[in-house]
Amino acid sequence: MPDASVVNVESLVKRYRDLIALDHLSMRIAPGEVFGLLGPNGSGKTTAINCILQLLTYEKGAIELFGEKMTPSRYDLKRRIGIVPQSVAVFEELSVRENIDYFCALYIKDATKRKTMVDEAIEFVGLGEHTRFRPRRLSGGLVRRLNIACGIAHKPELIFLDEPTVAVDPQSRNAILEGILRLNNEGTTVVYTSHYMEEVESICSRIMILDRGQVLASGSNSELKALIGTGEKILIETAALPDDTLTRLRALASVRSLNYDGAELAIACSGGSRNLSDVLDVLRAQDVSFGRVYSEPPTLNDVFLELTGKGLRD
Amino acid sequence: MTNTFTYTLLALVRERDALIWALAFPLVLATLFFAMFSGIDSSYRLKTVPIVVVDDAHYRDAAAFVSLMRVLSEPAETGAPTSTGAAAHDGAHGPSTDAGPLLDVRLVASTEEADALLKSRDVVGYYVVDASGTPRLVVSAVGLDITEEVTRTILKTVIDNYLRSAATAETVMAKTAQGIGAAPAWPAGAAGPAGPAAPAGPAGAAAPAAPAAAAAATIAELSETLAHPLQFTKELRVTANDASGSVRYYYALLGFAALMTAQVGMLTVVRTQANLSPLGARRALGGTNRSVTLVAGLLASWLLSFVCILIAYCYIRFALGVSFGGRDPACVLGLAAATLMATSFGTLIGAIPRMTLGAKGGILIGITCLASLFAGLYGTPAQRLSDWLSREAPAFQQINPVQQVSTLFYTLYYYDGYEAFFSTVGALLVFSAACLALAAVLMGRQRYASV
Repeated sequence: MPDASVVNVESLVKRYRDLIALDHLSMRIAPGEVFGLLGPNGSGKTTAINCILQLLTYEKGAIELFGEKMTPSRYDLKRRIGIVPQSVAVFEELSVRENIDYFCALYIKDATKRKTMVDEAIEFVGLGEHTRFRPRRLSGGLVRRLNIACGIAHKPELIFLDEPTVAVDPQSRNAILEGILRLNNEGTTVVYTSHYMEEVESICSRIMILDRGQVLASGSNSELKALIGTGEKILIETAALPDDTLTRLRALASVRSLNYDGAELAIACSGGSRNLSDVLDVLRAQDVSFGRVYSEPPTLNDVFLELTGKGLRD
Repeated sequence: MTNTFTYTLLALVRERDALIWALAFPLVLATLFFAMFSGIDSSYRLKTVPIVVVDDAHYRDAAAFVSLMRVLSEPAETGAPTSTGAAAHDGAHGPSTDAGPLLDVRLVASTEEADALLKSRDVVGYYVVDASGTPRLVVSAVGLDITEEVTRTILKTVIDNYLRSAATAETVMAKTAQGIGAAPAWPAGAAGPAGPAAPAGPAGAAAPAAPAAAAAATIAELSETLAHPLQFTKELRVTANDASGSVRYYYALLGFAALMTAQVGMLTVVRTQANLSPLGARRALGGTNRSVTLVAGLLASWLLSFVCILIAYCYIRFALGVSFGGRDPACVLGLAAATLMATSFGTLIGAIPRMTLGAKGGILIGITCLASLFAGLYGTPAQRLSDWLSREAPAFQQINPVQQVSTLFYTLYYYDGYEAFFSTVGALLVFSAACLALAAVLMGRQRYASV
């Protein structure tokens, strides 16, 4: 029975001498997904992509794309794939249009068809006013957009975007993210890696968190948050909070940790639907006056830090 | 493939560094060479020597000497045609075969007038014939510079040769006269080479008529021979063109320029290989077979290199007027082979893994400069070193690409046939094939342990 997955990786192992870069990595990506690969520096995200695309050797594992075994010479499969690498990889001597046309020509031979595709890619990334410019005359954000245009111009079915928004201003980042969602809406399956949690959270339908080559967690946004049992964070402005009140608050079943600095009370809760009202009930019962109250739902960042730890990485 | 070829070529044409090494640098060096060496060949050329001759009665009586002055005042016979049948001189930089007269004879009426010209340094010497019919050279003893020294030597050589010939003639005539038992006699109205005509004495009249006639004929023949010494000398050319002191520099420069274009091939490979640059990695992931990408890139590199060196060649050949033996089509073929060698060599250096682009560029420049030293590019000591290596270590020079390219043009300039040229072209092609084979081994992998 043919596998419906666009990407199917089984037990992939990759070593750089003594360092295990990928430790039995397995993943399946269904058609139409925006799949997020999340992990700290050196976690194996780019290595995983390069192994999947057969650029890197690996010690063990099986890789299938579009239901077929991927090998270095499967140019028929490569023609269905787009890649936007982490480093900007374009010709400095060619103009925006020439660069896009060159990379598009690696996949599309028909010049007429290619011209239309190049025009669409230019419009897609908003480089219409810069088609004659060479990369050195473009800002960092525009170069990133060119990098993306070179990867998507041939309208691939599957596209790998490896940290495409690094060193990009917020406006360009929003434009890039919107573009990725538009691609996905047109049917492209997207594999997206990033350091920015909010990006992954906002566009990915499924997320895999990698660290030291191992899969720490995988699932939808809500599934990951549920996985670590983290609930909302409550912040309350209040002065002169008695010890008795703090003791009562700590005693609440949903309170995981509490911190009070004399002016602001910060409470981390576990999952639950009445956390805020339970806390406010205690304060009112103790006749404690308070000012503004904030309640934040858990973020992917919380999940990430919970899973990968808060220690500094290289 | 066409697209990859076109865009690779376009990118290379716009790559300023590559063009500086491949085109601008050789043009600048050629111009410098021209400024430095343009006087070399002309300095080797024999210039007409001005000489004053005292035209008095003694001189007019010395018929042989008068004849000599006349012969040496005429333009010399031009060199023999080459075995290819083509005119050797193609109007370019290099020694001329069209020699002018050796002497520019100016006749003056008296010794005083000649002395005055000598003192004013209008001439470096003058000939005067004394009463015995022997010519003498009078020169100034002081204030001679190197040019005047050379001129004086020429004038002295002329008169020494004349006197030696005259002495020889006298000896021959004396022995001939003894042999036939008659006194020697110069033809009526002629003067012997050593001086005034020998008197036709009574001894001659007393001799039998037949031997006397034979002696007269022999002496007349001898006289004619001594008056026209070149009639038994034939100039044969052993090379297709005259030796030139400067062409060697330009040929070595073309070898240097050819190897400099290896930068283009190196850059192309670095941009094609996944383990050498991010651009290479991206291209390796594309939907076009990587060997197609590589071949298209190398063809573009070779074409650009060829055009660059062709421009350098045209500049040296036509603007600077350096001779290539008039074999332009073969030169163009040689340039094509030379740039193929350079592109292949650049490909090999470019394919070395785990080395930065700057380091590879440095290696190429270093090798090019060193190979150029052994090819004699940097002056006379370098040329001596090159010659010594060619004698003592021919195998080393055989693998020196700059030397091979230099030899390529050398064979065209000096050799009549094309055997040596095609042999050198073959050596360059073998070198190219070896470089490409090694590069293929280095680039053969499709996947990498790391990128």
